[in-house]
Amino acid sequence: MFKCSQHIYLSKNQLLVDFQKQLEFEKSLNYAKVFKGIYKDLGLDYPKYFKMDYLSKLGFLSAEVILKDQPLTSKYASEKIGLIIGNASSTYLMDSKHQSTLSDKTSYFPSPANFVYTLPNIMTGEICIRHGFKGENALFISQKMDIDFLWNYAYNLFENHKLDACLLGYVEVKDDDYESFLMLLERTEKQGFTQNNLKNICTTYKKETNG
Amino acid sequence: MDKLIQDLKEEIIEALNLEDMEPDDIDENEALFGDGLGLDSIDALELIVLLEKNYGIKIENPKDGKTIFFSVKSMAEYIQAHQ
Repeated sequence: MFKCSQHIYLSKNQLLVDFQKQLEFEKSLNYAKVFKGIYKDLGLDYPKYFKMDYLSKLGFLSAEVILKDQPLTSKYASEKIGLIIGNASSTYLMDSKHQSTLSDKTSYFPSPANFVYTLPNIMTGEICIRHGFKGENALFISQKMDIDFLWNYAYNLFENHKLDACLLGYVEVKDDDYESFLMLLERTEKQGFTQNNLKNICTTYKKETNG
Repeated sequence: MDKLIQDLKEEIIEALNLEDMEPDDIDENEALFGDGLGLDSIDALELIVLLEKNYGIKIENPKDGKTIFFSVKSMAEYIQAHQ
């Protein structure tokens, strides 16, 4: 019913694609510099990227890595391409930043540019806009990455012919840590990718990066 | 005026997160929206906040925005006339 065409993992300053290390940054670098390094390495020219919060930046870069050589809209109808993402901390970093501009009533200048990134599904929206996805676009918040839930959600969408392709994964940014795991699922005649496959890929990546 | 234009360029880069851009990359006569810097409606709001926060200037009539925010130079002229 669907297969996994490619998967990527970005954490601990390492970028892996299909378990192969593509990029590695010094451990001492903070994620702001790591994300900028990846942006440059990909040769991107997308000024809006610089306005995004770090959650959106991580989701955006992860999608770029996986889709740079395979634009999905050339293979599938836009309405049949979707995005299913899990996350734990939502946009609390930007929420805190925005809150700090509201706390001083004598210097009350909330930033509109910050405010627009105080919703985690802005990240999924940024990816959909960039790649022309018009199918199901869902973001679920749970304390831990809930692989079973995400897989079942994707399974039902493919089963009910709502999607022919989707990005599925987990994108999380915290104070000093980040993790992104993303895979491209595409419709096939036979069931080529199982829940256990997904679990095994996640486990392997965590081991590879000591996550 | 030159000092004000330079300050404005730096403030715009910071407020709009225009990373990798230097003040010299911005032509003060170039359009900020549309074909120029390619700013959007959220950026317009950010520029309104910038004027109020950094220069104490509040734009009373929203219709004036198009003229005020046409370019860095037009912003500087407006600031100079209203400070």
